[in-house]
Amino acid sequence: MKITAYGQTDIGQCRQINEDCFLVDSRNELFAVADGVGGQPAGEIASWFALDQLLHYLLELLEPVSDPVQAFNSVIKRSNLAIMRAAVEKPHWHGMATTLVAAWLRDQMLVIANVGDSRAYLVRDQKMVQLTEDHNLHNEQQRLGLNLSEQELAGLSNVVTRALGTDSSEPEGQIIDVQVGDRLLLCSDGLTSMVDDTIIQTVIQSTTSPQEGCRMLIDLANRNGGRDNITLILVYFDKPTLTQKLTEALTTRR
Amino acid sequence: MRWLRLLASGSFLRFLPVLILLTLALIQHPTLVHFDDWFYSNLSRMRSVAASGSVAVVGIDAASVQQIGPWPWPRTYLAEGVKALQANEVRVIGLLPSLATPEWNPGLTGLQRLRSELPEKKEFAAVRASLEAMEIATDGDRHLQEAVKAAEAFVLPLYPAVDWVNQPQKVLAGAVDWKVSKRSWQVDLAALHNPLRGWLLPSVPRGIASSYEPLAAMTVHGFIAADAALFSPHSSLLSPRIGDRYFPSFSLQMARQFLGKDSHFSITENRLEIADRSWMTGESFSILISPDRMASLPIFSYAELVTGKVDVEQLQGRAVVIGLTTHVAESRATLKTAAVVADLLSGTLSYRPHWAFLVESAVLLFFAIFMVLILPRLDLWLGSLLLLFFTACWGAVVIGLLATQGLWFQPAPVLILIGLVGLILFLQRVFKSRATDYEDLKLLGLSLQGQGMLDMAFDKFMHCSVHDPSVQEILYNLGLDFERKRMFSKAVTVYQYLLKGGKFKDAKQKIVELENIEGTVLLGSFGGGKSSGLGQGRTKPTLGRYEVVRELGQGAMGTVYLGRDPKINREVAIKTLNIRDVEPQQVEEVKRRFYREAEAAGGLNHPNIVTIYDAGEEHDLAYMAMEYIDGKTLALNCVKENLLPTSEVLRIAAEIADALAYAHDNNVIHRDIKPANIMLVEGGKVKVTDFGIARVMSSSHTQTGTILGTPSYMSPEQVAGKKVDGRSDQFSLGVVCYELLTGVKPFVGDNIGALMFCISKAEYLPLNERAKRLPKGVYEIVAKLLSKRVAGRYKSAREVAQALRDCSARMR
Repeated sequence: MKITAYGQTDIGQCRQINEDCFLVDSRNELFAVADGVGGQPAGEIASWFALDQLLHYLLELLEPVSDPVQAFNSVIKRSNLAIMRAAVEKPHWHGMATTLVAAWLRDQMLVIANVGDSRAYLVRDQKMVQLTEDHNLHNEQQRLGLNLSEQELAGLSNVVTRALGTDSSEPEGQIIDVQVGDRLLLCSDGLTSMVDDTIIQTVIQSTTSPQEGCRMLIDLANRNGGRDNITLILVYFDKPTLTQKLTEALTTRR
Repeated sequence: MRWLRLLASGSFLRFLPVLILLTLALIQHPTLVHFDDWFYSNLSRMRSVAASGSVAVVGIDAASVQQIGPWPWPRTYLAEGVKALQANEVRVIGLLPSLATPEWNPGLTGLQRLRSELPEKKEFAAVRASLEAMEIATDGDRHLQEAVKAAEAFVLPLYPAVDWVNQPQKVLAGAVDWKVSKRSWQVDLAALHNPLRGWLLPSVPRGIASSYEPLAAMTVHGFIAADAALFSPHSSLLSPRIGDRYFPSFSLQMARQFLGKDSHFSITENRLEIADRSWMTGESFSILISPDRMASLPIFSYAELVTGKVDVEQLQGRAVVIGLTTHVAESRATLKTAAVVADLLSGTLSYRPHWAFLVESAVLLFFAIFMVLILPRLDLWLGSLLLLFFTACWGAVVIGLLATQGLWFQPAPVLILIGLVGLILFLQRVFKSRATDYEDLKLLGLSLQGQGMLDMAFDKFMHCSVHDPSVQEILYNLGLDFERKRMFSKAVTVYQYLLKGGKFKDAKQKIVELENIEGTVLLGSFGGGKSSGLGQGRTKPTLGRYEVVRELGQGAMGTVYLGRDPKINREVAIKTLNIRDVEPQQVEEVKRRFYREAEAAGGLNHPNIVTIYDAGEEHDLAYMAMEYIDGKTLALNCVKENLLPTSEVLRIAAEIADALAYAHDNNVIHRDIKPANIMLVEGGKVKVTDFGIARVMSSSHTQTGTILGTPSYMSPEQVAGKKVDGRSDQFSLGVVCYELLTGVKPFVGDNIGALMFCISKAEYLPLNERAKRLPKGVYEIVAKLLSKRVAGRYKSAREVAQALRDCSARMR
């Protein structure tokens, strides 16, 4: 499979700082987006620190890994502890928090985990499926099966119920298989709140390279208001190229 | 223009020219050969041609014809030419004009008859003698035969009769003297690539010769091909096979005669041997003649020859060809024949070796692989440079080999390949670059589409190239959007437009599907009233069997329309549920519940309950047709300014209780009693709506903010997610009553959590503290209805109604 990934972040039209951060590590096949929680100090520090620690702890994982989902979750938990420790050590970082959505590619399987309201989507066979559940008040209510009116719901969507750096930071993980033709999107809520899902799907399906997709989506989000920082990573799983097939054929024969 | 898109679709089509060219080269398709011949004619100049010292042409040209007389001439004149050549000590004479029959000489026969009719008298002796002299003078054949006999070597042409190819047996049957020694003339059959099988005859047996008899016996013949490609440089040294015989061509025969009449003559593989000379030839013993050669032949006019104006040295010891040169075709034939003789005698032949195909194919494949696989991945300049370099190399090899060895390899296939594939690659690059130009337009269009301005988005996309698959994808999604808004005719327009760029997913089926929905076009107001301009619907919008008159507003789960049942001319309200708003996994489940609840609610028939008439589904809308109530909801009366009088409240509440009682008896729980669901009709009648519908939506996690019930009116057990029964409706009724009486809700909260806590645990401000001057019974009833414990409420709604009426009665 030919895997191309591209990430891009933009401050948006309204914010003063960009509290988002993203990580694309092709060697370790790790992709992650972190959205620093505004309203808390050092949101922008939290996001990059989280990603930094995530990579660090992932590299420390000993192979072979028997349960990738469990392992990935534990990596995230350890990152969380690191954040909390750092927050204690430096007073101006106190209380910093960030969301996280991360994807870890192992052969043909993708381990996805999230904490907070940054999302992972998968576009496959002309359908876009949200892989992660948002950890915000809106969803928590729905999970409890409560029925709320639209006005009441409106105020709840951006209250995050879980975040790294807080007490409530339990990551939710899953593992899915990857097929040729799949496209993965990791993004912060700055994208999904500005651009309709159908439009996102259209852009992802109609572009041939992830760079093009990222560029278009960020432009669209900004055109529609850009009220938050916009960050996304697109990973395209395409048919292997001729040279790839040839090299594979040659190496497997040996 | 679909083929243009195919061209852009990758390496597959880049391989196609290769295959075509290989096939053409293999079968030596005439067009390819013709193109190649052009190259040869121009490049043959590179090969230096040895002087044609041994050949000359005597042409019967326009000047000769003018001087001597119109052609065909009497044979006496031909004889003169032969004699003149003989006088010049020419080595071989070849006469091209055909002498198939003895001369038709009416003058001679007249003279002979005259002589025979003369009486045998002495006075006529002188006349007889002069007649005899005249006969001798005019007997062309005799002169010619004499001249031929005197000539050292003479070659006559063998023109093929029509019979030859079609019925070789017939031709051979008449021939005699086939007895020739096998060993001398046997052709070597060893080489597989040379399919020459049969007998090579150096001389032509009688019966086949195309010259008349006595003459034929005196000379040898050479084959003249019925040369279709008169202007091609190819010439075969042997005739085509007739039966199992081959004949040498005229030119070959002349060469042989030149080198020695009975000299050793054999052909092996592609090697020709005469006397001590040998030549390599190409496939089927063909060689290539250069225009230079033809131009360098010395040509003499026949008239000049017979009048002695030609020097002896110029003709001495040569092979001379006598032929017509008046017209282009004849002239060409003559010169070509002579040129072959010159080539043979000078030893510098050019030919295409029989193994040329292998070399050419190898080169073709090399270029093919280079251009199809490697070139696209290279930088434009580097690639072009390399290509130019390789082409130049091949060109140099071809020219070099031609110039030095006389070997010719067809450059045409390779050049055509380079041209074709180069063009395709160029087009592909151009095509690709144009695709990126549209990105801005695409972006703008998508942005407009996201804001709901679908028409403007479509307009923008139309400026992009529809042949680009990514544009088609975007258009397809736009079409889906139109469908969602039920603007089917516009969706069809979009799909039809995108199909111009070629097949795409199921666009075609969609068009058929959409065109089949008869007249159902509802103009969408979608999620908040944003409509993207009014399109034209089909004739009359309908939903199921109901005509849609107008939109009434937004309901809990979709738009509500005013409709009309044409069959019984009754006004109905149509509540719709957009199936697309539901998550795909849940669609079946939601639909099932929708219909089950419709069935349950549909079975309720009570004056205080809005009757459900019908439920159904069309395309992506599920709908429910119900009694149309022209009135207002109680929501308006829930504010302090609009409070109803207490007696009214009691009356209304009682009627609601009646409705609930009836419903509970039929095992239907409303679950969503709230002021918005209670209608007041003109005249004060109370109608409860939205029975059981709230339950349908609660399990789907929709995103577009469809309303799922209102927690402010929920009972504690509902809030806790426990199982509910009719008494839950009582609680809700209690909340409604509280609100109607005070203008304030009993349970409030800053956020959901607080609200839920309030409902389930907290004490509400009792009614008597808010509304001071109500009858005592009212306080009791409301308190009981709002009891948090289910058991604390009334046993049934009927009791509630009764209590309310009693209280009302006591008021008066």
